[in-house]
Amino acid sequence: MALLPIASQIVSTPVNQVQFTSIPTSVNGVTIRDLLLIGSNMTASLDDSIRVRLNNASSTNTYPHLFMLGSGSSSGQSGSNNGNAWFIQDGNLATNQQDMVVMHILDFTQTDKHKTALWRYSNGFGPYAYAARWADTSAVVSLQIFLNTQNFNAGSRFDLYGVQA
Amino acid sequence: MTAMTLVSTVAVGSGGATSVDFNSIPQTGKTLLVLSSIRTNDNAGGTFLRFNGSSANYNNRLLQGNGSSVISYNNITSAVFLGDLNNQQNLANTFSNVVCTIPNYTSATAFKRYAIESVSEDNVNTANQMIITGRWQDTSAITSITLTTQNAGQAFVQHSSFSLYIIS
Repeated sequence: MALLPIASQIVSTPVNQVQFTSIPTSVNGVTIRDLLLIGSNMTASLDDSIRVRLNNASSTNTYPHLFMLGSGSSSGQSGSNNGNAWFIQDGNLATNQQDMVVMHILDFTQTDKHKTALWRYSNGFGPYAYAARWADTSAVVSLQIFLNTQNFNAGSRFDLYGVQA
Repeated sequence: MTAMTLVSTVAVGSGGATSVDFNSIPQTGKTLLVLSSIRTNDNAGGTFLRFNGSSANYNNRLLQGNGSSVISYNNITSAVFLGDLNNQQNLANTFSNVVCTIPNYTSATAFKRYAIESVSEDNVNTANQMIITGRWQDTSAITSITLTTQNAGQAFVQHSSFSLYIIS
């Protein structure tokens, strides 16, 4: 698997949303097929939930997802069919926990299928493993990572890569 | 230009290895990725990873399934726990797969989170699939990684392999 860097964003002043726009279909002449997003050192001043949208699309019932988690004392699972964004962690972004996420979005340039994603999330509550779908056949050209009401603290980092086709 | 660069690969030889070390890790990347194929000569499969030789300030939380049940529990604080992996109790020639991701490893201001996926399986004993996350509560940049077995003196057996990549 060849990973090709697309862009990185490090929050310098608190901000509600981080966005990757004009996502290319090739990097340095190499065609890419999947996207890999690594979020690290993610913190917020107050607890909040992190969400992701593709192409800024916010229609309801278009972001189904399911997940399983371990709390250290119990395990659980859940899912949702009626979201208008992917909730990339179901709980709240605990303040100053340096959360991380590794998200793989498959076949992002294809226009013949809905888009699927797998991600692992790590925070103070435990490991989360997610699988999700964006019910849209559009090619993904932008990615929005945002909090419901709060802001990402400075130092929150997001790195976007393309996976070679 | 690829963002994923191999730093080093260690392939364990016939004598086994009581530890595997990656030293002087280049500080030019954003994320570390450790890919391993592991079998130990221990009677227990616990496998540890430590940053910069530190044996403190880790917390590990596991989600583990064995095909009939799923559990979650907290684990040691003295190392990164990679899982209960294939050992001498398992069918011969079977090895565990482990993927360990450590973003933001060069930061000198943030604690270091990590995420691990590992599996132990041989079609004879109980198989375990593990998702492990945790945090090393140390703001030091990671400059070295050491892997060891659970019990001192035990070893990774021949054909175990460990590869360290930098993602830039």
